[in-house]
Amino acid sequence: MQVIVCLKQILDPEMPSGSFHLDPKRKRAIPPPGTPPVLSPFDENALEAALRLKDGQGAKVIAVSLGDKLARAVVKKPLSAGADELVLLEDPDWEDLDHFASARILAAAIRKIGEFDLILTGRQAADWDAGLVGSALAEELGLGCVTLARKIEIIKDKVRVERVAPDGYEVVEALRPCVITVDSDLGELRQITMPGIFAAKKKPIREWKPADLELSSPAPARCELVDLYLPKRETVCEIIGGESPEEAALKLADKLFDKCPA
Amino acid sequence: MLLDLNDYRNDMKRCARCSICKWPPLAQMKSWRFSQNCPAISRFNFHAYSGGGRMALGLALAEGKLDETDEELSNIVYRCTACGACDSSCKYNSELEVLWPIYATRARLVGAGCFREEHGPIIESLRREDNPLMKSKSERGRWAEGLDVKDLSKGGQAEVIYHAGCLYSFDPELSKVARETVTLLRSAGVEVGIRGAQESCCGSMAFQLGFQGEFIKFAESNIDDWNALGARKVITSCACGYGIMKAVYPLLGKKMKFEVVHISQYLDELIREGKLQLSKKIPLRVTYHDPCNLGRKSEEYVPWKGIEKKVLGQLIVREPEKTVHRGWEGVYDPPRDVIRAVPGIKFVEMERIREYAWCCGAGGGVKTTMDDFALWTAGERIAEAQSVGAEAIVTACSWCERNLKDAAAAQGKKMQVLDIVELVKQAR
Amino acid sequence: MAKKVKVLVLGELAEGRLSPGTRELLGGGRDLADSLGARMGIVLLSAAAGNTGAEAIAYGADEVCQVEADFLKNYQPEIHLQVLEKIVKKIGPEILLLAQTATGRDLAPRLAHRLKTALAPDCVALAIDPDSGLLRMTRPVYGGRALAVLVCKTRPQMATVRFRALKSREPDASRSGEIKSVAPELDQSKTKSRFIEKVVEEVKGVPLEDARVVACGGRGMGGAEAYALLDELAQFWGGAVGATRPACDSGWVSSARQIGLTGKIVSPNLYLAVALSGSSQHMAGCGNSKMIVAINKDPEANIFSFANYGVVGDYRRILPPLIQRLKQISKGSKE
Repeated sequence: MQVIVCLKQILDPEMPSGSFHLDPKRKRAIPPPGTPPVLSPFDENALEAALRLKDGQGAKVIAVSLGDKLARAVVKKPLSAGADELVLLEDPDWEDLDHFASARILAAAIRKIGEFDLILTGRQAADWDAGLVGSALAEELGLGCVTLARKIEIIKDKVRVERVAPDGYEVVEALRPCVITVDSDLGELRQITMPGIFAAKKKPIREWKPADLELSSPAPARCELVDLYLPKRETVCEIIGGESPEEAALKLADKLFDKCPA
Repeated sequence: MLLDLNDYRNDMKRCARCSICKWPPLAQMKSWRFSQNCPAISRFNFHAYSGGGRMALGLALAEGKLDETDEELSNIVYRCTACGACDSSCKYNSELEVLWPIYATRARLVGAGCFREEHGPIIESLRREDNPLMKSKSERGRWAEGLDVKDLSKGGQAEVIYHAGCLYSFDPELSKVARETVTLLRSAGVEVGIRGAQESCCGSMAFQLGFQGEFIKFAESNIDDWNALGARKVITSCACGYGIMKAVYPLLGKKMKFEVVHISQYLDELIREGKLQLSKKIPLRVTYHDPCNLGRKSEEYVPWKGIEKKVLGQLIVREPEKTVHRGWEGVYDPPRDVIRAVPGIKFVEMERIREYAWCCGAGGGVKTTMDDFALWTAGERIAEAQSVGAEAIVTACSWCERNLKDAAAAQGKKMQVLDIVELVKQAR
Repeated sequence: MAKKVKVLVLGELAEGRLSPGTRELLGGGRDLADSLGARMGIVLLSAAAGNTGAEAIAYGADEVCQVEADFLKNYQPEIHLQVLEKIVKKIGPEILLLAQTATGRDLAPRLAHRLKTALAPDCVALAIDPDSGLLRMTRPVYGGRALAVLVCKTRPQMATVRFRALKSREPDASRSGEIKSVAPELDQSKTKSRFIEKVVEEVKGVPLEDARVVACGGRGMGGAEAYALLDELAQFWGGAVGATRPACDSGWVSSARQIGLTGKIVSPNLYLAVALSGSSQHMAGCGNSKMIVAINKDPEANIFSFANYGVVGDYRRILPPLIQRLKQISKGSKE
């Protein structure tokens, strides 16, 4: 069994709040000095899902990352976590791709890899928060797609997925191969260990450029980002003080009772 | 407060390649055997590993002559405990910054996403569990189980807070020291509080490895927490913590309503005030190992910002004047005074002491990621202690103790390693 | 000549009626259609349409496309996709709107791909640009720290809309419109997944989205037991208790109670933010609350930039006296 996991390198969503600045011309956030990029958290959940299939079913796990200026210590993390192979799609042309373009390129890379039973990725990337690539990837490859997975089980030629629902969960069965997007409910990526890092140094890494993939000429971007801005916040917070937190609490109670009676 | 490698260009340019960074000052040397002061170049031999070599590398990086992604560069940069011996030696004769360009180089590489994979789990552990040791946060307060001490994680305030530090909290052997410290403080009548499971790392390792964003989060959080808990004094056993709190925390520009004190200083005070009586004789021949972070690295660092003027066509003068931190103002005497206060103790100094002390080898993330290098460095220190006839090395830092103990065991060397608190406990 | 349907809403039903999200889409869609001087249509897929056609017209639709079939009872991606693709292509709207619900966020990307158009998901604002006539779609990005405005060059311009971003209109029974029944075209052999069952996990008390008052605890709570205090606090108003994502990921609270960008979006009258930093991911879930009160020991926590009132300090010292005093005043006012 072969499982492909797509992981995106993004600016660290947990950067100190003072480090978040926008580049108005490029309409992107500026890479914060002092905080390196990371793998998108939901993609790490997808990797965990794949590694559980490796533990349980002996699946082979191939990690794929697409972009430019890929930090090796970041994108090699799946190998340290237990993935078997890594495919890096790195090129300046692939720096700021829109979602449908990313899906096209990933699909081409996946076709080049050849065999796969499942393609896993995070439900959305923690930079653009769109949640489009996984679904678009399924459409590109003509596969079914199950989103928001919190549990994945292989049952003969199908896969049984528990999907997160607002008031519980849904159970869906899908034919393989298919694409599954994973939610954080599935569980955190296992801890990386030093032995894992050592073992990773011997694992194969393939690096592909646009010329290596069979890509038809790109279609023009369908969407245009016309503005990116920081929302203005006009609330002024009234801090309720006191000699002690306990005293402030009493004053707060009076205020709340006044503004928001039971 | 983010470090910018460009701020140190002038320092890095002026390195004359005199090699003084590789040795303690000539006047301090006592033998050929223990005449070096930089573990990295002593071990790996190439100039790149010395302070001067690192200045050359840092300058090349700042000028865009080196590829940040080069793995060999990363090997050289991180095979270094950031002990600052090169800095103190250089400043014997000059006013160049050496240690801070080393920090800034690491910050530069990390910021560009070029960090070592081995550092990944350390940072991950800091984020998830508030410690760099990959231990669970919920276990952090365990060392204090059964102790009669105020646990601030359950509520309340305290004017004196004891910060045990990550290694003292989690290491089963070293946590005895934390327990003994609290017991000692309580018996001396100090109303001390601990944060139990809520205590979090000082951020020192994150800073030294170059993960500044991460460091800022920990430093700011600790300062806020201690301020909110009403602390007037924060006593720490963790020398790395002490060093970073004194040297770097003030750079964040946050008001610290408390004073940071190392346990050795506090014990010294208590003994002088007669609140702690040492009456048992300990007829042991001991030496004291100066932890880098308690010593030369604990001076408050004020980054110099100003203009350099050429006077008389050749002399460089700085406006405003620069305060040079040579490491002279570190905590050296309090631990020595405490040792000397132990009845019957025979105290001998090693050759490389105070601001020219030889690093134990654990710092800068080396113990966690390059244990063989750490153990070799510690082995050298043990040999030095043996050369002055010491039966025990007394020190005041959990990482030094861990590394020295591991090296003594691994190399079959007979040398006791004692924490200053353990010595005091034995002498009461 | 009859005006064309330029704005099309893909609606959802809840318990035999239009879902609240669908009513909001009709309200907002009506504004867009009026700006364009066009008609607005709605497509409703169900096993039993009931009175929803008339309801849709009352809420602003001009045309209703009712598609009824047994196999449309539960959401099954490939079935819905096939049916909708054909219908949407036939109608050819300028603008296509869906609600950002569990169904919408699953369906919309794949539908957009099949329609060879793009999608702006989770929009918080929609407006017609007066100069270009294009739909400006505003959506939060970078975990809610920034807002992005997108326009689409292909047709239809497609967006999924966040709950409560648009306002539904008052139902007007006097409105008239057309209701058409359309037979769904489905090729069963093309379906690749099958819906098996839905398991409802009981969450006690008032649902978060409906609660007037919500008390939410974050990482600073320190553990599961601490939430008992929040239960007590929320009880005062008969409200609900939520948690931030880190708290849920730590296993302290069920993820059904998660409030944030990838959890529930709430907008109660009173939101009590306790021991949470106020990260943008979280604020995306509660930013629209009428009043926000923050309790945090960090005076520089981000939450204070959003809160109307704040108390700086340890929640363990603040909540018990707060709760006690509230009960005291309440008892006093009743006597």
